[in-house]
Amino acid sequence: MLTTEKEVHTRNCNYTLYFKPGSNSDWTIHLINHSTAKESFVEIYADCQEFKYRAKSDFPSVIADLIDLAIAIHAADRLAFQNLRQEQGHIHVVLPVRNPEKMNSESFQLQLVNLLEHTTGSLWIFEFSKRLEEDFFVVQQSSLSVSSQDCEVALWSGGLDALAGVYQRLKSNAGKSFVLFGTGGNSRVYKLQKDTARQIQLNFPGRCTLYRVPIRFCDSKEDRKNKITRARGVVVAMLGAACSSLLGQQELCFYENGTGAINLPYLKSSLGLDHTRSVHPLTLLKVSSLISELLGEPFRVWNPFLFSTKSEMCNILPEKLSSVTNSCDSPHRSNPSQCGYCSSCLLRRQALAAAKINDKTRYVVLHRNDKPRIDPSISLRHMLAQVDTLRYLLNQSSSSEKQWETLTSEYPVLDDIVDRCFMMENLTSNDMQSKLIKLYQNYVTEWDEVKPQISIGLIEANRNEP
Amino acid sequence: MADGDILRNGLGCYKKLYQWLCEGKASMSECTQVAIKALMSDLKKKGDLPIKLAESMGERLFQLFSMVDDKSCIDWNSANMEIEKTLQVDGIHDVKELVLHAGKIFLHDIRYGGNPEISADSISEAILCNYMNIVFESGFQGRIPLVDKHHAGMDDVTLKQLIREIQPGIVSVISNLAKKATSNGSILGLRLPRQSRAQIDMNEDLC
Repeated sequence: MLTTEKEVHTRNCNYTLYFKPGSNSDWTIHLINHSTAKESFVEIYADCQEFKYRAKSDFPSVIADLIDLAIAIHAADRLAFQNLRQEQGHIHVVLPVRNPEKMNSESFQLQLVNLLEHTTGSLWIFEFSKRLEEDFFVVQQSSLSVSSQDCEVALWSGGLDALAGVYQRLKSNAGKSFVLFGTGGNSRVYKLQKDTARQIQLNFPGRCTLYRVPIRFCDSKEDRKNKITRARGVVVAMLGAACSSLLGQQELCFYENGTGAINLPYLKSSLGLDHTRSVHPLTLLKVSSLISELLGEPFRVWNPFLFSTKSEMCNILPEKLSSVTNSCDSPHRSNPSQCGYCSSCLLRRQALAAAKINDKTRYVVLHRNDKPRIDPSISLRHMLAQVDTLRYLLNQSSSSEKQWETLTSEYPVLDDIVDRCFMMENLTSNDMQSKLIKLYQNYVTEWDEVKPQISIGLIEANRNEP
Repeated sequence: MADGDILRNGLGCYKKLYQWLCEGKASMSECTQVAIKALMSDLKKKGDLPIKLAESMGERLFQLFSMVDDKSCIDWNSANMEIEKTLQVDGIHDVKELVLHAGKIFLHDIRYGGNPEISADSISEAILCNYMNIVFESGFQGRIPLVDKHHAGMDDVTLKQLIREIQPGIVSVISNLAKKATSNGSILGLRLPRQSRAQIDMNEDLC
């Protein structure tokens, strides 16, 4: 017999995190690692001041709960370690909230744990107790009223997709204003977000506002943190949704190119969460549903660029703007900071080259003489293998029906995406299939055009076993 | 968002197979035997959870298919969600993902293919068979170094051709293994199939 979900939830807990609220959106976390029997106390703080900008004077308690939930997920995702090759980790979160009845309901709990297992691979258990402490300052504070008319709230990472996305949206929606929302992951990203937003503000005066809600651990250097945080997309979506809802909106945008968002495996050896699902269409669907359930009204988190390649997103971007952004997965501390050979750097280089934009970014692999510690060609080889697979599948037939059948035989998740998302995208399922076929055809064509250029210094003509 | 990609390398238990294929000293049937031995070891390491998951998927899908007269009436979204529900159990993330992929490939084959005879057992067996094939693909084919020249100077095109040659033998053994594992309810109890007398390849040098 299969173990039931309830049975799973009552045993094998690897981590328990008890959250105790402080006076001003700060929390003390009592962290218990059950595997090592180690206990510690960690403090975390979110600077929620930007939430004072609201369309309405009151601060709905469900939104305050959404913010607290996002902080708790972020903390657990950073502090609880999990090895995807071993038995799944169990993360037990005990969090005081203002609406425990709603958040302990079966429907909300199921959606929440399902979303988090989908994005992190861990099994999560949430216990929401009644919050007895006084609410944090910004919730009690009266609002600084802002107009709620025709504004688009979008997540702001400081990356190339976010910049190209907002540039495209500003160009095609004259008169519309934009709120860019970020968490400024660390001080480097915080500055990057500010610098890139300033460039956009200079190009489109008076149309963009940057809001940030940074979350920081306090004096916790002794506590090891996960470097790869798979729940990051969920956390920023929750905080962004809180921002959007406070501004009177019912939507939040993620600007992300389609191939990067869907993030198909490069090779047959790639499994599940080897590739992040942060902006995956099914993640956005699940997040939308969860937030709608909590807010008690429809709320949509969506990606306007699901059917665009990164190059298509960038093609109208002025040359000087692209170099202010950062795409690197593991940026170096020294200059140049972007490696130029991780999959994110490679996709950036491919996109700019295919869009015929002179890439002025300085990359370690192109502008430094010292050799990287790892083989810098690995990511490129994986990406090119995927391009070969896509080309082969798409060339099996000229009929789009047959192309779709072949494409989904290798990547069945594409059928799931269409079956579940076509209505949210306001398309028929056939139209959505055609758009995804076109997306991958364009991606392959772009690579064919720029492969020799990107391969310089990474792959020699005859590659030998490393 | 392509951040934090995990790229797997290393052939693990399939290293010997890779070396034998590259060195070209062993016959194709010997290479097939080495491949099956490595696959069995890989499958056993992953345990019996796939059997339970495939059984549960089989039951759920059979129930769903029984409610419709024709496959054109199947709600494929519901069918996919049904197989996802079976994963709400303890287990290794990677193993669950492999079985989920096997289930989705099964649904794809039904959706775009013919109308096979369907029972709960036949569905579980087909899913388990897919699972075993996927384990081989992800453990071996997906991990072959992405180079032009391999071990012992073997070129990539020839290596791929050799892999295609051993494939039918492996697929046939996997089909039998899936049948046995489904009827016994265990992968851990599977035994290595008895070696069939190697067929003489007319092109093989017998000297």
